[in-house]
Amino acid sequence: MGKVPSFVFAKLLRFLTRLRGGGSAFPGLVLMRLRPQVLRETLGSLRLGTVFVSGSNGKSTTTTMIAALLRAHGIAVFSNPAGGNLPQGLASAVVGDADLGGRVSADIAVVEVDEAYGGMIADALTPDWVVLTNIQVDQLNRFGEPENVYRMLRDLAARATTGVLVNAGDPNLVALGAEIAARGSRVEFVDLSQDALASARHGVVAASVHSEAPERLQGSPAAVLSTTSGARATIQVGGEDIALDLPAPGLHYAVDATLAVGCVSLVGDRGLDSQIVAHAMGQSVPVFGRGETISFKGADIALTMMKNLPSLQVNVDAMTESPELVWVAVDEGTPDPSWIYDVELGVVDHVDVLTGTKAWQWALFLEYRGIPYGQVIEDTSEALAAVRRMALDKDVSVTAIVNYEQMMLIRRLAGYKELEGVR
Amino acid sequence: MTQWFTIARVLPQRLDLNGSSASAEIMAMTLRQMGHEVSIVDIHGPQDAPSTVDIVTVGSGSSSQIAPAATELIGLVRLFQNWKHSGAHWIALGMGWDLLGEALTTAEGDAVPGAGVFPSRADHRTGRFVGEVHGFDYRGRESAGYINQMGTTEILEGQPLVTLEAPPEGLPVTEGLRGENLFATRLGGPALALNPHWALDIASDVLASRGLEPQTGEFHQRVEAAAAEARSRIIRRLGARR
Repeated sequence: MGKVPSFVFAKLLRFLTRLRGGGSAFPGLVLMRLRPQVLRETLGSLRLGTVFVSGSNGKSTTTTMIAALLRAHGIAVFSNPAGGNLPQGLASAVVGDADLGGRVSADIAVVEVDEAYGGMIADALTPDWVVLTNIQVDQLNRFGEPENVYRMLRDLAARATTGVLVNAGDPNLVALGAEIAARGSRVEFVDLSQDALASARHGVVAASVHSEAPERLQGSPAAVLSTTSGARATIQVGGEDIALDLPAPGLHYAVDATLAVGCVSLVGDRGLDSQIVAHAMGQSVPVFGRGETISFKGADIALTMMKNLPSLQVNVDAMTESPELVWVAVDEGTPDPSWIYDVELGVVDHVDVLTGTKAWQWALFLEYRGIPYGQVIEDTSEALAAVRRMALDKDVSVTAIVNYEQMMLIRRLAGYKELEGVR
Repeated sequence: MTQWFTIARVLPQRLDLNGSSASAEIMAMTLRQMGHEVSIVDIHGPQDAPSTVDIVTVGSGSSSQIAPAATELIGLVRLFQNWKHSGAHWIALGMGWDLLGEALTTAEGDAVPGAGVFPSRADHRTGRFVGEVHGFDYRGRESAGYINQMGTTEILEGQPLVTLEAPPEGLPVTEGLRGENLFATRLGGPALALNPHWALDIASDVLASRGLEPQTGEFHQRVEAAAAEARSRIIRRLGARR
């Protein structure tokens, strides 16, 4: 089908799917069927190229931060919404942003890319830069072991035509960077000071892919995370210290911000204004469900993600006080929750309500940890009503430790209708 | 009467993937809730090792850990023999079991000698199986868990731990090993938590070796009730898929 009819059809589909509420990646899927080269056609010749952001955790936040900093510097950015990191999600974002002629008005594309689909997306849209956040123990049911993630990200990084930016606080990415640099790729990195690393009890929670610690990468870092505490960080770039506010507390957010600052210093063409960086970062809000607080009929619910072991560990490490009302909700989106036995729950000294089809596995874990728990209410809707009553009775907010799917469900039940990954 | 027990957790820095070093924690809680004192000692090398231990646990790891873990285990073989002869009870999961068996063939076809504690041979060339399973154990009790492991394991002595119900294609119908003072499984990290009857069997054997009876109480009833609920969800999911 021709370009204009294809976009007309895809935009009509998008309109119709939105009529029934929320959004869908379906229009993007259809557009890719109609025009298999659509990503290259629309995004392949932007003035400043294309940046892929991938890794086990922090993809959405880092992508959002890079896009925000570039926009604050007056650069027009195309980006996929948080979580829309599969080919159809990216194509759906194109459906939303392109005109009927298939033109996207942007200087640069900054796109979050799923680890396993990176190669497929790179086939459709060659990245100029690849930014890698970390390699952590994640979705073992899907990836088997972190070694496979290392290989996927290494192969994706090797596709970058200009360069690769890695988080050198993760020894796996230092090894990956050294491996592809030896093959001739340009490898840039951001570094973390010892003080910054020590700010979180478990550091960056990297997977143990390599038995020996790799050597340091050659060259100077694009940016250095000097210090971080709570939701504040100081990032050194170009000989200047930039003090900034993070969207939520935690070393992981500070690392994401450092990658974003380092990336913008490399890919932008307007320089890096420290005041603009600090202001833009101060305006940033948590990405969809990551450290976000939602309101449900008078009760505040702070969503703490447990997508996997590292995400739960870093989020728990970032808590400074024992939460008063704790709700754990986990379902089939976490096929194997065995990793919870590797988590140190720190200040979480009790759980009030357990929810979802894996609630009883959590109950067992808490029993063996000697951590008291209250009710098991498997149905999320019933549990939401119960924790709301408890929160209002005690006049406290709810700390909800949730997997991705329960986060989406809780947001929807609480009346937050927009969907992640679609536009 | 309160007794002191020591649990040795072998190479936890390498063999702890996906909750698989939790066996020590689960056995410790099982015994503590019977009124006993338990210490867990992490074994990184011969220098860490007490001369006698009651339980030895080893967890699973990823493929890049095979060579370094096998190398470090060489220095522990004599110690393992001493512990075995003194009647220690062994609990091994996944790749930890493979490395404590007679031999392991890696996915690339390399032969790696095992520590010789378990009468079994592992072969990782047959690929990875990932998913929930359910079956009946050596005493006919309903058991369940999650497997995410490479290859297959041949048992040379002892009996299978579980006979699986309708295993997926490519997965052997029997799983794990139960022998004298030996317990091994390819089920994931919380295998003993999801199946506390196994933790009780091992605790009973450990206590019997000192002439004691297990004294179960409210905690043990609670974990069995919670585990039964968790297993029932697994069985329901498997039923829905078949």
